[in-house]
Amino acid sequence: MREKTVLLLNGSPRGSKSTSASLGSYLVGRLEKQGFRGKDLHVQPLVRSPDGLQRLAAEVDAADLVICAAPLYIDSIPAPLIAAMEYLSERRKVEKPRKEQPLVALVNSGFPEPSQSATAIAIYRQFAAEAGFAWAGGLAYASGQAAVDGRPLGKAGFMAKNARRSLDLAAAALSEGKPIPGEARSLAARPMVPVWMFLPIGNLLWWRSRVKDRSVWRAMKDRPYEGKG
Amino acid sequence: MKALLLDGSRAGDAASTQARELIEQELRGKGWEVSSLTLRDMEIAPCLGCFKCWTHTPGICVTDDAGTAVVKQFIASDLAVFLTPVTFGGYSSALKKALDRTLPVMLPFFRKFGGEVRHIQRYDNQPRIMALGVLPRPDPAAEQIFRTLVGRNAGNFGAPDRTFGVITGNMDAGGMKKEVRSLLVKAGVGP
Repeated sequence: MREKTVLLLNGSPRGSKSTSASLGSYLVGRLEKQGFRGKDLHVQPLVRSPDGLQRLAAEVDAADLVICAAPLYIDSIPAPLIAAMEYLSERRKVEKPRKEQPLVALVNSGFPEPSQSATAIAIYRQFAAEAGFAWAGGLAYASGQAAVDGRPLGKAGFMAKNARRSLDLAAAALSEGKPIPGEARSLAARPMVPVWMFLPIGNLLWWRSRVKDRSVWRAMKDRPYEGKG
Repeated sequence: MKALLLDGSRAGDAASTQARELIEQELRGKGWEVSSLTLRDMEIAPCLGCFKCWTHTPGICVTDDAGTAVVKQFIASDLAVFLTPVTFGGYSSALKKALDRTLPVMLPFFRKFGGEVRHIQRYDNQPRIMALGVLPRPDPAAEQIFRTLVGRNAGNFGAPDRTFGVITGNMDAGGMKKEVRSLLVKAGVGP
């Protein structure tokens, strides 16, 4: 029997160092244990050239399961991944897909409410319908940036335990040709950092850990473009 | 009053071209200063997701290209117009590449607002947002996603108001003019 392939389209500009890569790689790893052969592509460099887009389309055509993983940018999907989706959608109107290909979306947002990612999930779902994929479900991860920050999910500690469990359930269902179950979506929707803890962490610890230059601390609220437009 | 029109349309899209010309005419006719940007022709690099506009050069993106000019004009505008083909219910990649680069208009700090955690705005004044989507034919599912997206954007940008409309490629000139005028009135541009 032919080995099935799963393709991870990583839509984060941070590539392999991103939380999208952490979540997507974990899911691909679980599917590999179920017999899939995994492959991943960083989308951003590929959409810069016609050759890159053609390679992307060929990899997508060959896959039996496609996973889009990207951060939430301005309530939606990062522009390079939208560019890839536009290309794929137009191409698949001309060259119809030869097999049923389930599509899964993983959205990680910097906010603690998973509801903030609902629009991005809806856009992926609409893309699946327009581009001839079989929608297999979306998982929205809240405050993933604070809890995971690009580390392998297996090393992200207890805060990522629901994320791991949700992806375990998703992999089990997808390997049987089923859509992502509601329990996986519910587990994914539990914020990795609770809302009550998010504001103090986000407003103090996060930026203090990243801003090394103390002169920048005083300039954090500067308005460099005021009166300059 | 200043308006910034971000044109995220594809080349050769007649309905978008017509809509853009109508919006510009209506605004200028009412004394507005209009800056229109054809985003597909602009070299705007993707947001790197590095957060350096918060942690190294507050309020300034480390990529110095046309994306920086968009941010400056966005901040200085009273009205920001998003013109885009409705793309899977959302914005085109051309419009989105510009919007992704607006992260510096927000602070890294959060507050709870409207029942959700949101970023605090860096600047006191934010433009109103008017979004006009273009669809080849009516598509209620895509329109619903578009409406929700515009509403969410307005909330997260701290926009004082937002209006939303969709025109379809099969609309005649009269119908399109009516839709654009109605949208501009809702956006506070006057009857």
